[in-house]
Amino acid sequence: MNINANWLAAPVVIPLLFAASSLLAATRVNLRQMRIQRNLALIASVLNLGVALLLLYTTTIQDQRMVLYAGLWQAPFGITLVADALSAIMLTLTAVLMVTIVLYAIGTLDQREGLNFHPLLLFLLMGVNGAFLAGDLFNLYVFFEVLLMASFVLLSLGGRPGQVNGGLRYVVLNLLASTVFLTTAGVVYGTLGTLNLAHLAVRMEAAPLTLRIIVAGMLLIAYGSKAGLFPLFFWLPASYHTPHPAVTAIFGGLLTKVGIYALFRVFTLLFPDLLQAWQPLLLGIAGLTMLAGVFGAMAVNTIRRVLSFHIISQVGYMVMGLGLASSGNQLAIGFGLAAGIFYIMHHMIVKTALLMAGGAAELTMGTGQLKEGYLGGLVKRFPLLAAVFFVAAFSLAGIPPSSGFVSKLGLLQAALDSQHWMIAGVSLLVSALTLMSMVRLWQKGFAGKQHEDVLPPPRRPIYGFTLAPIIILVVISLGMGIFSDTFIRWSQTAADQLIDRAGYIEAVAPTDVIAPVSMDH
Amino acid sequence: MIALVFATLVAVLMASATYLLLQRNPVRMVIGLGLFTHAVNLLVFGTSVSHRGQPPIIVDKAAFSGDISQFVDPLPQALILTAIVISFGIVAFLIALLHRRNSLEAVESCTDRVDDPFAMEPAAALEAVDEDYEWLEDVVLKRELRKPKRTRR
Repeated sequence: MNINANWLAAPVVIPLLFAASSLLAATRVNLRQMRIQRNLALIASVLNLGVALLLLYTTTIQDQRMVLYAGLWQAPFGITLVADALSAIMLTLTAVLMVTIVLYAIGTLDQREGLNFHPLLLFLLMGVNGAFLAGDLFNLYVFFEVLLMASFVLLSLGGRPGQVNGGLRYVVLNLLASTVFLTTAGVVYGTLGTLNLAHLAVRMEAAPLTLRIIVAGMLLIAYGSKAGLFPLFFWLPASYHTPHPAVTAIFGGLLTKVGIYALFRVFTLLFPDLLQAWQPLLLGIAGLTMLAGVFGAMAVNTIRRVLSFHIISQVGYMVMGLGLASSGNQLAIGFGLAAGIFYIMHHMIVKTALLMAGGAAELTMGTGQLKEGYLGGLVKRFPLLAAVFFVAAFSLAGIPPSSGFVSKLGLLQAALDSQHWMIAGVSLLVSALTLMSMVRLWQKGFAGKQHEDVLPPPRRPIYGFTLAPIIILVVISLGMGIFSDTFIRWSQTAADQLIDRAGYIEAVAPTDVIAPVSMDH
Repeated sequence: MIALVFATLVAVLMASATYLLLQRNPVRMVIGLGLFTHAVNLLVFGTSVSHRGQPPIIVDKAAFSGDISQFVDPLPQALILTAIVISFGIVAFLIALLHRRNSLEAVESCTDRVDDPFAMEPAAALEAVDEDYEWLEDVVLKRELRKPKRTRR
């Protein structure tokens, strides 16, 4: 089946159209307008899921690349959208998360935060989708900014002091990272005369080593701070616990992963030699990120703060996959990369489910404070919520048969096969510490009894719409664990396509008629 | 020569921006961010300045050899236009956030802070603080309203 390349524009255009029209629909502030926006968002996210599945089928199962030249301008000149297996996998996961988050918002959102929540969510979706499809460095920057803009407003939507403060930290640090990214784009264009990724891949080979090191280093800093890598992660725990749980859930599932995607794309396509040379650096960053995240999670005392720190430690595992990409392996070439991609898939699903369940618990009990028995007794009050939290938490910690077990096993195997004992040891240690942290959440938050002096809060019903998306995500996670061969095959296809640089360049086919401007002007 | 002027200007702007960003005053930080984005815009602009006064049009298409160093490259200017809009929007949003923050009452109690420029309370530890649960206010409010009914039963 060959589908028209114009479908590639749909993941960007659909959210944009629906977001704009739902802004128009909300002329007055009341519940009815919110309902209209919500329905539009639901339609848009379902349509988006359909398109993403279509792209997934074409690129991953049929093992193809799709390229759309906007306005039929040839590759280095116009805007190019490219979808390969990795893009399509990320698009599909994003689409699944979007559908579930819209359902979750039906159950949890109140009127204060509900106004214009859905249009912003759609703008966020547009930015994320665009970043996954962008075929050149500058459009990657633009879509990064689109998603950041939407996330800034989502974060401070309630306008409460904590949200404003968290929002300020988040905006300042992310604007700095974006500016570093733009500087890199300027340096690249000034020296190599192109921004198209495929064209850059050709020209970067001939570029002097100094330039390659500068560009790769700056991109590592820019994407690393967006992904929350050590030592640039401090904006994340400072802001992620402040907004509404629905916002935290979608941020935790999506945003850092866009940075990780960009790292995977740029390092495999532009700097395959540096991937080899910088392996100790990447693995070191990965290990330190894991440790910093998991130790941070031990020091904090509310459900969502603990989960925010775990995002950081999980991001370390993904970078570990990238670091192991270049090392030969008896299983397959690029098995480390495939394991990293599988880890991203697992993490996006499970982390969102956990943040949703934790947020629902905080919302129900009126607090997420783990100390002094404020929480507790949730198992008896809300057994279903406790059950889904349990499954998701132990999937995060890597207990079989969940997806966490398979993905961690893959990474460990890749590390052991290429004889990286240190990172293998660190990943095992962090895995154990994660399990400990999850047990702590379970004991203090869900099991046990509430302290006598703390007044039990009145029972606030947990709506079916709050629980349904969490159940969907947990079932997907279990399915990824039990039928893991399919998902590992997809990640292996994605990893193979990433390593096959010549195939990417051939698919985009940049015309190289214009020589770069000489450097001596 | 022009390139050298541009490079110096970008370096000076970036240095002052970094100095301002390291200040504790949030307003200075915003100004620093504004300068930083300007420096980067100028840097991108600098990539196109090779020949002044040459239009980016190929007059004689047949004789064109592919040497683009003969005219000004228009692409960086398009890139800057996009970048300016983005950074302007974000800085404007940042100022709005700052304004909102300054209009909140809690700020007045901690005007002479030394560690965290954005913190509102003297001790911003990793412990849970009240501001973590502001988003719950409405829920708690509803609960307070519900309480009397229960006691009546």
